[in-house]
Amino acid sequence: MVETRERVSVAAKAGVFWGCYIPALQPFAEAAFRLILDDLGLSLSDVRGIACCPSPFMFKILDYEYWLETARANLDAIASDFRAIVTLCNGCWDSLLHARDLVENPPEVLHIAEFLIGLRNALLKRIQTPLQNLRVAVHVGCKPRSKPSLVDAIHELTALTGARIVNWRTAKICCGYPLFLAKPDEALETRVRVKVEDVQQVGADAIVVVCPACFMLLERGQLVLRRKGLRQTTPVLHLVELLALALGHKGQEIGLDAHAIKPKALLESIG
Amino acid sequence: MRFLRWGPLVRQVLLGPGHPGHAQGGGAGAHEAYLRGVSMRAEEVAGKLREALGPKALRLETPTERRVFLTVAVEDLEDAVRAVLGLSREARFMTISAVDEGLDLELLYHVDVGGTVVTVRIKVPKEEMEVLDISHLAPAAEFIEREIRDLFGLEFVGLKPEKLYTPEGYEEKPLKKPMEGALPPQARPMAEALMGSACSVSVSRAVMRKRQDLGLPAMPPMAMAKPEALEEVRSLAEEVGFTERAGYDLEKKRLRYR
Repeated sequence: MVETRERVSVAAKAGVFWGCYIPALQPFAEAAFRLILDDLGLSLSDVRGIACCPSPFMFKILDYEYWLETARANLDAIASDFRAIVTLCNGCWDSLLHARDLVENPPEVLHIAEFLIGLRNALLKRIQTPLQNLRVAVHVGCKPRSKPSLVDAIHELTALTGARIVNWRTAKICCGYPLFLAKPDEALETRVRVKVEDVQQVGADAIVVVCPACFMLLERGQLVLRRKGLRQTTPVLHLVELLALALGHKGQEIGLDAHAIKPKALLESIG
Repeated sequence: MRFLRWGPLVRQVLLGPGHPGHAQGGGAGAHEAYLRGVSMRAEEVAGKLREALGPKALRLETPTERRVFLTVAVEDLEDAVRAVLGLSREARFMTISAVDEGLDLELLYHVDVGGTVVTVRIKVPKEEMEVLDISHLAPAAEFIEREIRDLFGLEFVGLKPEKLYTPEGYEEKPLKKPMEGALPPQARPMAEALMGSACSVSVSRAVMRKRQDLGLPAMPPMAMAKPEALEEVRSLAEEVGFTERAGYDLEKKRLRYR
Protein backbone atom coordinates (compact mmCIF):
# COMPACT_ATOMS: atom_id res chain seq x y z
CA MET A 1 0.00 0.00 0.00
CA VAL A 2 1.01 3.60 -0.45
CA GLU A 3 2.61 5.39 2.50
CA THR A 4 0.14 7.13 4.80
CA ARG A 5 1.30 10.66 4.05
CA GLU A 6 0.92 10.11 0.35
CA ARG A 7 -2.45 8.49 0.81
CA VAL A 8 -3.65 11.65 2.53
CA SER A 9 -2.55 13.77 -0.40
CA VAL A 10 -4.82 11.81 -2.70
CA ALA A 11 -7.65 11.63 -0.22
CA ALA A 12 -11.19 10.68 -1.08
CA LYS A 13 -13.05 12.84 -3.56
CA ALA A 14 -10.22 12.75 -6.08
CA GLY A 15 -11.12 11.72 -9.58
CA VAL A 16 -9.72 11.33 -13.08
CA PHE A 17 -10.98 13.55 -15.88
CA TRP A 18 -10.16 11.34 -18.86
CA GLY A 19 -11.05 13.84 -21.57
CA CYS A 20 -11.80 12.58 -25.09
CA TYR A 21 -8.63 11.70 -26.92
CA ILE A 22 -7.31 9.15 -24.45
CA PRO A 23 -10.41 7.00 -23.91
CA ALA A 24 -11.61 7.36 -27.51
CA LEU A 25 -8.34 7.16 -29.42
CA GLN A 26 -5.56 6.01 -27.09
CA PRO A 27 -7.10 3.55 -24.60
CA PHE A 28 -3.61 2.12 -23.95
CA ALA A 29 -2.82 5.23 -21.91
CA GLU A 30 -6.00 4.79 -19.88
CA ALA A 31 -5.16 1.11 -19.34
CA ALA A 32 -1.61 1.97 -18.26
CA PHE A 33 -2.76 4.56 -15.73
CA ARG A 34 -5.38 2.23 -14.28
CA LEU A 35 -2.69 -0.43 -13.86
CA ILE A 36 -0.47 2.08 -12.05
CA LEU A 37 -3.33 3.03 -9.75
CA ASP A 38 -3.97 -0.65 -9.01
CA ASP A 39 -0.30 -1.20 -8.27
CA LEU A 40 -0.38 1.71 -5.84
CA GLY A 41 -3.59 0.47 -4.25
CA LEU A 42 -5.42 3.62 -5.21
CA SER A 43 -8.91 4.00 -6.49
CA LEU A 44 -9.96 7.21 -8.19
CA SER A 45 -13.45 7.88 -9.50
CA ASP A 46 -14.16 8.69 -13.11
CA VAL A 47 -15.08 12.35 -13.50
CA ARG A 48 -17.76 13.10 -16.08
CA GLY A 49 -18.19 16.75 -16.93
CA ILE A 50 -20.93 18.14 -19.14
CA ALA A 51 -18.60 17.97 -22.13
CA CYS A 52 -15.00 17.37 -23.06
CA CYS A 53 -12.72 20.02 -21.62
CA PRO A 54 -13.08 21.45 -24.54
CA SER A 55 -9.88 21.13 -26.51
CA PRO A 56 -7.77 24.29 -26.10
CA PHE A 57 -5.72 23.26 -29.13
CA MET A 58 -8.71 24.17 -31.18
CA PHE A 59 -11.31 26.15 -29.24
CA LYS A 60 -8.96 28.34 -27.20
CA ILE A 61 -7.46 29.53 -30.46
CA LEU A 62 -10.59 29.78 -32.54
CA ASP A 63 -13.14 30.95 -29.99
CA TYR A 64 -11.65 31.88 -26.63
CA GLU A 65 -14.93 32.96 -25.03
CA TYR A 66 -16.69 29.71 -25.88
CA TRP A 67 -13.71 27.62 -24.77
CA LEU A 68 -13.50 29.30 -21.37
CA GLU A 69 -17.23 29.34 -20.76
CA THR A 70 -17.58 25.63 -21.54
CA ALA A 71 -14.56 24.80 -19.36
CA ARG A 72 -16.15 26.83 -16.56
CA ALA A 73 -19.49 25.03 -16.91
CA ASN A 74 -17.63 21.74 -16.95
CA LEU A 75 -15.71 22.43 -13.76
CA ASP A 76 -18.76 23.95 -12.12
CA ALA A 77 -20.72 20.75 -12.76
CA ILE A 78 -18.15 18.61 -10.95
CA ALA A 79 -16.85 21.05 -8.34
CA SER A 80 -19.12 19.87 -5.57
CA ASP A 81 -18.23 16.19 -6.01
CA PHE A 82 -14.44 16.38 -6.10
CA ARG A 83 -11.66 18.03 -4.20
CA ALA A 84 -9.01 17.15 -6.75
CA ILE A 85 -9.12 16.25 -10.40
CA VAL A 86 -6.31 14.50 -12.24
CA THR A 87 -5.91 14.91 -15.99
CA LEU A 88 -3.80 12.83 -18.39
CA CYS A 89 -3.84 15.50 -21.05
CA ASN A 90 -2.09 18.84 -21.33
CA GLY A 91 -5.21 20.22 -22.97
CA CYS A 92 -7.67 19.16 -20.26
CA TRP A 93 -5.24 20.45 -17.65
CA ASP A 94 -5.01 23.83 -19.37
CA SER A 95 -8.78 24.18 -19.86
CA LEU A 96 -9.80 23.20 -16.34
CA LEU A 97 -7.00 25.18 -14.74
CA HIS A 98 -8.11 28.36 -16.52
CA ALA A 99 -11.70 27.70 -15.44
CA ARG A 100 -10.74 27.49 -11.76
CA ASP A 101 -10.74 31.28 -11.43
CA LEU A 102 -14.36 31.37 -12.52
CA VAL A 103 -15.78 28.71 -10.19
CA GLU A 104 -16.65 28.95 -6.54
CA ASN A 105 -14.68 26.46 -4.37
CA PRO A 106 -13.04 24.81 -7.35
CA PRO A 107 -11.29 21.46 -7.00
CA GLU A 108 -7.54 21.22 -7.42
CA VAL A 109 -6.65 20.50 -11.03
CA LEU A 110 -3.62 18.25 -11.21
CA HIS A 111 -1.61 17.29 -14.24
CA ILE A 112 -0.85 13.56 -14.26
CA ALA A 113 2.82 14.34 -13.54
CA GLU A 114 1.91 16.56 -10.57
CA PHE A 115 -0.21 13.76 -9.20
CA LEU A 116 2.35 11.00 -9.72
CA ILE A 117 5.36 12.96 -8.49
CA GLY A 118 3.62 13.12 -5.12
CA LEU A 119 3.77 9.32 -5.15
CA ARG A 120 7.39 9.03 -6.29
CA ASN A 121 8.56 6.99 -3.32
CA ALA A 122 5.74 4.51 -3.68
CA LEU A 123 6.45 4.21 -7.37
CA LEU A 124 10.17 3.82 -6.85
CA LYS A 125 9.61 0.93 -4.45
CA ARG A 126 7.50 -0.87 -7.03
CA ILE A 127 9.85 -0.60 -9.99
CA GLN A 128 10.34 -4.17 -11.18
CA THR A 129 11.81 -3.66 -14.64
CA PRO A 130 14.20 -0.73 -14.66
CA LEU A 131 14.43 0.55 -18.23
CA GLN A 132 18.14 1.34 -18.16
CA ASN A 133 18.64 0.06 -21.73
CA LEU A 134 16.24 2.64 -23.01
CA ARG A 135 17.17 6.10 -24.31
CA VAL A 136 14.17 8.40 -24.46
CA ALA A 137 13.51 11.93 -25.69
CA VAL A 138 11.04 13.72 -23.43
CA HIS A 139 8.58 15.99 -25.18
CA VAL A 140 6.83 18.00 -22.49
CA GLY A 141 4.48 19.89 -24.82
CA CYS A 142 3.58 23.56 -24.71
CA LYS A 143 1.14 23.88 -21.83
CA PRO A 144 3.33 22.59 -18.97
CA ARG A 145 6.08 25.02 -19.99
CA SER A 146 4.19 27.67 -18.02
CA LYS A 147 4.99 25.77 -14.82
CA PRO A 148 8.68 24.85 -14.35
CA SER A 149 7.96 22.50 -11.43
CA LEU A 150 5.70 20.47 -13.71
CA VAL A 151 8.39 20.23 -16.38
CA ASP A 152 10.78 18.99 -13.69
CA ALA A 153 8.22 16.46 -12.48
CA ILE A 154 7.80 15.03 -15.98
CA HIS A 155 11.56 14.58 -16.31
CA GLU A 156 11.89 13.17 -12.80
CA LEU A 157 9.17 10.59 -13.39
CA THR A 158 10.80 9.57 -16.67
CA ALA A 159 14.16 9.18 -14.93
CA LEU A 160 12.50 7.20 -12.16
CA THR A 161 11.81 4.39 -14.66
CA GLY A 162 15.54 4.02 -15.16
CA ALA A 163 15.40 5.23 -18.78
CA ARG A 164 18.15 7.57 -19.91
CA ILE A 165 16.88 10.98 -20.99
CA VAL A 166 18.66 12.31 -24.07
CA ASN A 167 19.28 15.96 -24.76
CA TRP A 168 17.84 17.08 -28.04
CA ARG A 169 17.96 20.44 -29.72
CA THR A 170 14.27 20.78 -30.60
CA ALA A 171 12.82 19.50 -27.31
CA LYS A 172 11.04 22.79 -26.62
CA ILE A 173 9.49 23.15 -30.05
CA CYS A 174 5.73 22.54 -30.20
CA CYS A 175 4.60 19.20 -31.66
CA GLY A 176 2.64 21.19 -34.24
CA TYR A 177 -0.86 19.99 -33.37
CA PRO A 178 -2.59 23.41 -33.27
CA LEU A 179 -0.86 24.37 -36.51
CA PHE A 180 -1.95 21.05 -38.01
CA LEU A 181 -5.59 22.10 -37.67
CA ALA A 182 -4.97 25.04 -39.99
CA LYS A 183 -1.99 24.02 -42.13
CA PRO A 184 -1.38 20.25 -41.96
CA ASP A 185 1.53 20.10 -44.40
CA GLU A 186 3.37 22.92 -42.70
CA ALA A 187 2.87 21.31 -39.28
CA LEU A 188 4.23 18.00 -40.50
CA GLU A 189 7.24 19.47 -42.26
CA THR A 190 8.27 22.22 -39.87
CA ARG A 191 7.40 20.52 -36.59
CA VAL A 192 7.05 16.72 -36.78
CA ARG A 193 9.81 16.08 -39.31
CA VAL A 194 12.22 18.48 -37.61
CA LYS A 195 11.63 16.99 -34.18
CA VAL A 196 11.64 13.33 -35.21
CA GLU A 197 14.82 13.66 -37.25
CA ASP A 198 16.42 15.39 -34.28
CA VAL A 199 15.35 12.58 -31.94
CA GLN A 200 16.75 9.99 -34.33
CA GLN A 201 20.02 11.87 -34.67
CA VAL A 202 20.64 11.70 -30.93
CA GLY A 203 19.75 7.99 -30.93
CA ALA A 204 16.61 7.96 -28.80
CA ASP A 205 14.57 4.74 -28.78
CA ALA A 206 11.29 6.51 -28.09
CA ILE A 207 9.64 9.87 -27.62
CA VAL A 208 7.86 10.22 -24.28
CA VAL A 209 4.86 12.55 -24.10
CA VAL A 210 2.27 13.62 -21.53
CA CYS A 211 -0.39 14.73 -23.95
CA PRO A 212 -2.63 12.77 -26.35
CA ALA A 213 -2.53 15.54 -28.96
CA CYS A 214 1.28 15.51 -29.00
CA PHE A 215 1.11 11.70 -29.13
CA MET A 216 -1.28 11.73 -32.04
CA LEU A 217 0.63 14.16 -34.19
CA LEU A 218 4.11 12.86 -33.43
CA GLU A 219 3.02 9.27 -34.12
CA ARG A 220 0.56 9.62 -37.00
CA GLY A 221 2.61 12.42 -38.49
CA GLN A 222 5.57 10.08 -38.88
CA LEU A 223 3.44 7.63 -40.86
CA VAL A 224 2.48 10.39 -43.29
CA LEU A 225 6.09 11.58 -43.49
CA ARG A 226 7.27 8.02 -44.22
CA ARG A 227 5.61 8.44 -47.61
CA LYS A 228 7.47 11.71 -48.00
CA GLY A 229 11.01 10.58 -47.39
CA LEU A 230 11.27 10.11 -43.61
CA ARG A 231 13.80 7.28 -43.34
CA GLN A 232 12.67 5.63 -40.14
CA THR A 233 10.04 5.96 -37.46
CA THR A 234 10.44 6.29 -33.70
CA PRO A 235 7.80 4.95 -31.31
CA VAL A 236 5.92 7.41 -29.13
CA LEU A 237 4.95 6.51 -25.56
CA HIS A 238 2.80 8.15 -22.94
CA LEU A 239 4.65 8.71 -19.70
CA VAL A 240 2.14 6.41 -17.97
CA GLU A 241 2.97 3.62 -20.42
CA LEU A 242 6.66 4.00 -19.65
CA LEU A 243 5.90 3.88 -15.94
CA ALA A 244 3.66 0.83 -16.32
CA LEU A 245 6.45 -0.97 -18.19
CA ALA A 246 8.88 -0.10 -15.40
CA LEU A 247 6.39 -1.40 -12.87
CA GLY A 248 6.68 -4.75 -14.60
CA HIS A 249 3.65 -4.79 -16.89
CA LYS A 250 3.95 -6.36 -20.32
CA GLY A 251 3.42 -4.42 -23.53
CA GLN A 252 0.36 -6.48 -24.43
CA GLU A 253 -1.21 -5.81 -21.04
CA ILE A 254 -0.97 -2.08 -21.65
CA GLY A 255 -2.03 -2.33 -25.26
CA LEU A 256 1.20 -1.22 -26.91
CA ASP A 257 0.28 -3.42 -29.88
CA ALA A 258 -2.42 -0.86 -30.70
CA HIS A 259 0.14 1.87 -31.34
CA ALA A 260 0.41 2.90 -34.97
CA ILE A 261 4.21 2.66 -34.65
CA LYS A 262 4.79 -0.66 -32.89
CA PRO A 263 7.50 -0.37 -30.25
CA LYS A 264 8.84 -3.87 -30.97
CA ALA A 265 12.54 -3.08 -30.75
CA LEU A 266 11.92 -1.09 -27.61
CA LEU A 267 10.15 -3.99 -25.92
CA GLU A 268 12.92 -6.36 -26.96
CA SER A 269 15.53 -4.04 -25.43
CA ILE A 270 13.60 -4.13 -22.16
CA GLY A 271 13.56 -7.90 -22.31
CA MET B 1 -21.74 71.11 -46.56
CA ARG B 2 -19.35 71.56 -49.42
CA PHE B 3 -21.97 71.26 -52.17
CA LEU B 4 -23.73 74.39 -50.88
CA ARG B 5 -20.82 76.43 -52.15
CA TRP B 6 -21.42 75.05 -55.61
CA GLY B 7 -23.35 76.94 -58.24
CA PRO B 8 -27.11 77.41 -58.08
CA LEU B 9 -27.71 74.88 -60.86
CA VAL B 10 -25.92 72.12 -58.96
CA ARG B 11 -27.79 73.00 -55.76
CA GLN B 12 -31.04 72.90 -57.66
CA VAL B 13 -30.30 69.41 -58.93
CA LEU B 14 -29.10 68.06 -55.59
CA LEU B 15 -31.57 69.67 -53.24
CA GLY B 16 -34.63 69.96 -55.41
CA PRO B 17 -37.18 72.78 -55.52
CA GLY B 18 -38.65 73.95 -52.27
CA HIS B 19 -35.52 73.15 -50.28
CA PRO B 20 -34.30 76.23 -48.36
CA GLY B 21 -30.78 75.70 -49.66
CA HIS B 22 -32.13 75.66 -53.21
CA ALA B 23 -31.35 78.32 -55.82
CA GLN B 24 -29.74 81.59 -55.03
CA GLY B 25 -29.03 83.03 -51.68
CA GLY B 26 -29.16 79.80 -49.59
CA GLY B 27 -25.66 79.48 -48.18
CA ALA B 28 -24.32 77.31 -45.38
CA GLY B 29 -26.10 79.22 -42.65
CA ALA B 30 -29.48 78.76 -44.27
CA HIS B 31 -28.83 75.05 -44.74
CA GLU B 32 -27.90 74.57 -41.09
CA ALA B 33 -31.01 76.45 -40.06
CA TYR B 34 -32.96 74.14 -42.31
CA LEU B 35 -31.31 71.08 -40.75
CA ARG B 36 -32.18 72.32 -37.27
CA GLY B 37 -35.79 72.50 -38.39
CA VAL B 38 -36.11 69.02 -39.89
CA SER B 39 -33.35 66.99 -38.30
CA MET B 40 -33.73 64.32 -35.66
CA ARG B 41 -30.93 63.16 -33.43
CA ALA B 42 -30.03 59.49 -33.35
CA GLU B 43 -31.71 58.83 -30.01
CA GLU B 44 -34.97 60.32 -31.20
CA VAL B 45 -34.82 58.32 -34.42
CA ALA B 46 -34.09 55.14 -32.48
CA GLY B 47 -37.02 55.82 -30.15
CA LYS B 48 -39.42 56.29 -33.03
CA LEU B 49 -38.20 53.15 -34.79
CA ARG B 50 -38.50 51.14 -31.60
CA GLU B 51 -42.06 52.34 -31.26
CA ALA B 52 -42.93 51.66 -34.89
CA LEU B 53 -41.33 48.23 -35.19
CA GLY B 54 -41.63 46.80 -31.70
CA PRO B 55 -39.98 43.37 -31.46
CA LYS B 56 -39.12 43.43 -35.16
CA ALA B 57 -36.29 45.82 -34.25
CA LEU B 58 -33.84 43.14 -33.19
CA ARG B 59 -31.14 45.64 -32.36
CA LEU B 60 -30.91 49.42 -32.34
CA GLU B 61 -27.55 51.14 -31.96
CA THR B 62 -26.68 54.82 -31.88
CA PRO B 63 -22.87 55.02 -31.93
CA THR B 64 -22.94 58.79 -32.57
CA GLU B 65 -25.65 61.42 -32.44
CA ARG B 66 -26.06 61.32 -36.20
CA ARG B 67 -25.89 57.55 -36.78
CA VAL B 68 -28.40 54.80 -36.20
CA PHE B 69 -28.06 51.10 -36.97
CA LEU B 70 -31.24 49.04 -37.03
CA THR B 71 -30.96 45.26 -37.33
CA VAL B 72 -33.99 43.30 -38.48
CA ALA B 73 -34.76 39.82 -39.81
CA VAL B 74 -34.82 39.38 -43.59
CA GLU B 75 -38.59 38.97 -43.59
CA ASP B 76 -39.05 42.32 -41.80
CA LEU B 77 -36.98 44.33 -44.28
CA GLU B 78 -39.93 45.96 -46.00
CA ASP B 79 -41.53 47.06 -42.73
CA ALA B 80 -38.19 48.43 -41.51
CA VAL B 81 -37.48 50.43 -44.68
CA ARG B 82 -41.02 51.73 -44.68
CA ALA B 83 -40.65 52.81 -41.06
CA VAL B 84 -37.36 54.59 -41.72
CA LEU B 85 -38.64 56.39 -44.82
CA GLY B 86 -41.72 57.36 -42.87
CA LEU B 87 -39.71 59.12 -40.18
CA SER B 88 -39.61 62.37 -42.12
CA ARG B 89 -40.85 63.90 -45.33
CA GLU B 90 -37.18 64.62 -46.05
CA ALA B 91 -35.99 61.01 -45.62
CA ARG B 92 -33.80 60.12 -48.59
CA PHE B 93 -32.67 56.66 -49.64
CA MET B 94 -28.90 56.78 -50.17
CA THR B 95 -27.56 53.40 -51.18
CA ILE B 96 -27.11 49.74 -50.20
CA SER B 97 -23.79 48.22 -49.15
CA ALA B 98 -23.29 44.48 -49.57
CA VAL B 99 -20.70 42.60 -47.51
CA ASP B 100 -19.91 38.95 -48.14
CA GLU B 101 -19.16 37.50 -44.70
CA GLY B 102 -18.55 33.97 -45.92
CA LEU B 103 -21.71 32.29 -44.68
CA ASP B 104 -24.08 35.25 -44.98
CA LEU B 105 -24.42 38.26 -47.18
CA GLU B 106 -24.95 41.36 -45.08
CA LEU B 107 -26.98 44.14 -46.67
CA LEU B 108 -26.92 47.65 -45.25
CA TYR B 109 -29.63 50.02 -46.46
CA HIS B 110 -28.58 53.60 -45.78
CA VAL B 111 -31.17 56.35 -45.47
CA ASP B 112 -30.54 60.01 -44.68
CA VAL B 113 -33.14 61.37 -42.30
CA GLY B 114 -32.46 65.08 -42.07
CA GLY B 115 -28.75 64.72 -41.46
CA THR B 116 -28.91 61.52 -39.42
CA VAL B 117 -27.96 58.41 -41.34
CA VAL B 118 -30.06 55.37 -40.51
CA THR B 119 -28.75 52.01 -41.67
CA VAL B 120 -31.06 49.02 -41.81
CA ARG B 121 -29.06 45.85 -41.45
CA ILE B 122 -30.08 42.36 -42.56
CA LYS B 123 -28.18 39.14 -43.05
CA VAL B 124 -29.17 36.89 -45.89
CA PRO B 125 -27.98 33.30 -45.41
CA LYS B 126 -26.12 32.12 -48.47
CA GLU B 127 -28.25 28.99 -48.53
CA GLU B 128 -31.17 31.25 -49.53
CA MET B 129 -29.65 34.17 -51.43
CA GLU B 130 -32.98 35.89 -51.88
CA VAL B 131 -34.40 39.13 -50.53
CA LEU B 132 -37.28 41.45 -51.33
CA ASP B 133 -36.69 44.25 -53.82
CA ILE B 134 -37.47 47.59 -52.16
CA SER B 135 -37.53 49.74 -55.29
CA HIS B 136 -41.31 50.15 -54.91
CA LEU B 137 -40.52 52.06 -51.68
CA ALA B 138 -37.32 53.76 -52.84
CA PRO B 139 -37.03 53.83 -56.65
CA ALA B 140 -33.32 54.67 -56.51
CA ALA B 141 -32.68 51.26 -54.91
CA GLU B 142 -33.26 49.52 -58.23
CA PHE B 143 -29.91 50.64 -59.58
CA ILE B 144 -27.82 49.33 -56.67
CA GLU B 145 -29.90 46.15 -56.31
CA ARG B 146 -29.10 45.25 -59.92
CA GLU B 147 -25.44 45.95 -59.24
CA ILE B 148 -25.46 43.67 -56.17
CA ARG B 149 -27.25 40.94 -58.10
CA ASP B 150 -24.64 41.10 -60.88
CA LEU B 151 -21.66 41.08 -58.54
CA PHE B 152 -22.81 38.83 -55.65
CA GLY B 153 -25.57 36.72 -57.18
CA LEU B 154 -28.23 37.78 -54.68
CA GLU B 155 -31.79 37.66 -56.08
CA PHE B 156 -34.08 40.60 -55.30
CA VAL B 157 -37.64 39.33 -55.58
CA GLY B 158 -39.63 41.67 -57.83
CA LEU B 159 -36.63 43.37 -59.41
CA LYS B 160 -36.57 43.76 -63.19
CA PRO B 161 -34.38 41.10 -64.77
CA GLU B 162 -32.01 43.24 -66.84
CA LYS B 163 -28.36 43.16 -65.81
CA LEU B 164 -26.56 46.37 -64.98
CA TYR B 165 -22.82 45.71 -65.08
CA THR B 166 -21.97 42.28 -66.31
CA PRO B 167 -22.65 41.25 -69.91
CA GLU B 168 -25.42 38.87 -70.93
CA GLY B 169 -24.17 35.29 -70.77
CA TYR B 170 -21.61 36.06 -68.08
CA GLU B 171 -22.82 34.12 -65.07
CA GLU B 172 -19.90 34.44 -62.66
CA LYS B 173 -20.38 36.53 -59.53
CA PRO B 174 -17.05 38.29 -59.15
CA LEU B 175 -17.50 39.56 -55.58
CA LYS B 176 -19.10 36.42 -54.13
CA LYS B 177 -16.76 34.53 -51.81
CA PRO B 178 -16.86 30.76 -51.27
CA MET B 179 -19.28 29.56 -48.58
CA GLU B 180 -16.75 29.29 -45.73
CA GLY B 181 -17.06 29.79 -41.99
CA ALA B 182 -14.50 30.54 -39.30
CA LEU B 183 -13.34 26.97 -38.73
CA PRO B 184 -10.53 25.49 -40.81
CA PRO B 185 -11.28 22.11 -42.45
CA GLN B 186 -9.41 19.99 -39.89
CA ALA B 187 -11.31 21.60 -37.01
CA ARG B 188 -14.78 21.08 -38.46
CA PRO B 189 -15.33 17.41 -37.55
CA MET B 190 -14.22 18.18 -33.98
CA ALA B 191 -16.65 21.09 -33.65
CA GLU B 192 -19.51 18.99 -35.04
CA ALA B 193 -18.64 16.13 -32.70
CA LEU B 194 -18.54 18.47 -29.71
CA MET B 195 -21.93 19.95 -30.52
CA GLY B 196 -23.39 16.57 -31.44
CA SER B 197 -22.09 14.42 -28.61
CA ALA B 198 -20.42 16.80 -26.10
CA CYS B 199 -17.02 15.33 -26.99
CA SER B 200 -14.56 16.37 -29.67
CA VAL B 201 -14.04 12.82 -30.89
CA SER B 202 -16.25 9.77 -31.11
CA VAL B 203 -15.43 6.19 -30.17
CA SER B 204 -15.05 3.78 -33.09
CA ARG B 205 -16.04 0.12 -32.93
CA ALA B 206 -12.39 -0.85 -33.29
CA VAL B 207 -11.49 1.21 -30.21
CA MET B 208 -14.43 -0.28 -28.31
CA ARG B 209 -13.07 -3.77 -29.08
CA LYS B 210 -9.59 -2.72 -28.07
CA ARG B 211 -10.90 -1.28 -24.84
CA GLN B 212 -12.60 -4.57 -24.03
CA ASP B 213 -9.37 -6.46 -24.84
CA LEU B 214 -7.64 -4.26 -22.28
CA GLY B 215 -10.27 -4.99 -19.67
CA LEU B 216 -11.85 -1.56 -19.96
CA PRO B 217 -15.57 -0.91 -20.48
CA ALA B 218 -16.39 -0.65 -24.19
CA MET B 219 -17.92 2.79 -23.72
CA PRO B 220 -15.40 5.05 -22.05
CA PRO B 221 -16.08 7.36 -19.11
CA MET B 222 -16.81 10.41 -21.21
CA ALA B 223 -19.50 13.08 -20.98
CA MET B 224 -21.31 11.98 -24.11
CA ALA B 225 -23.77 9.65 -22.40
CA LYS B 226 -25.87 12.35 -20.76
CA PRO B 227 -28.59 14.02 -22.90
CA GLU B 228 -29.13 16.85 -20.40
CA ALA B 229 -25.42 17.66 -20.54
CA LEU B 230 -25.59 17.84 -24.30
CA GLU B 231 -28.46 20.27 -24.06
CA GLU B 232 -26.39 22.46 -21.76
CA VAL B 233 -23.41 22.36 -24.14
CA ARG B 234 -25.58 23.51 -27.02
CA SER B 235 -27.38 26.28 -25.17
CA LEU B 236 -24.05 27.52 -23.84
CA ALA B 237 -22.66 27.61 -27.36
CA GLU B 238 -25.65 29.62 -28.51
CA GLU B 239 -25.52 31.95 -25.52
CA VAL B 240 -21.90 32.99 -26.02
CA GLY B 241 -22.36 33.30 -29.78
CA PHE B 242 -20.22 30.33 -30.76
CA THR B 243 -22.87 28.77 -32.98
CA GLU B 244 -23.17 31.97 -34.97
CA ARG B 245 -19.43 32.66 -35.17
CA ALA B 246 -18.61 29.10 -36.14
CA GLY B 247 -21.63 28.75 -38.44
CA TYR B 248 -23.26 25.81 -36.64
CA ASP B 249 -26.90 25.11 -37.45
CA LEU B 250 -28.54 23.99 -34.20
CA GLU B 251 -31.64 22.65 -35.95
CA LYS B 252 -29.82 20.62 -38.56
CA LYS B 253 -27.11 19.76 -36.02
CA ARG B 254 -24.24 20.40 -38.39
CA LEU B 255 -22.01 23.16 -39.65
CA ARG B 256 -23.42 25.17 -42.51
CA TYR B 257 -20.31 24.43 -44.60
CA ARG B 258 -18.08 21.45 -45.35
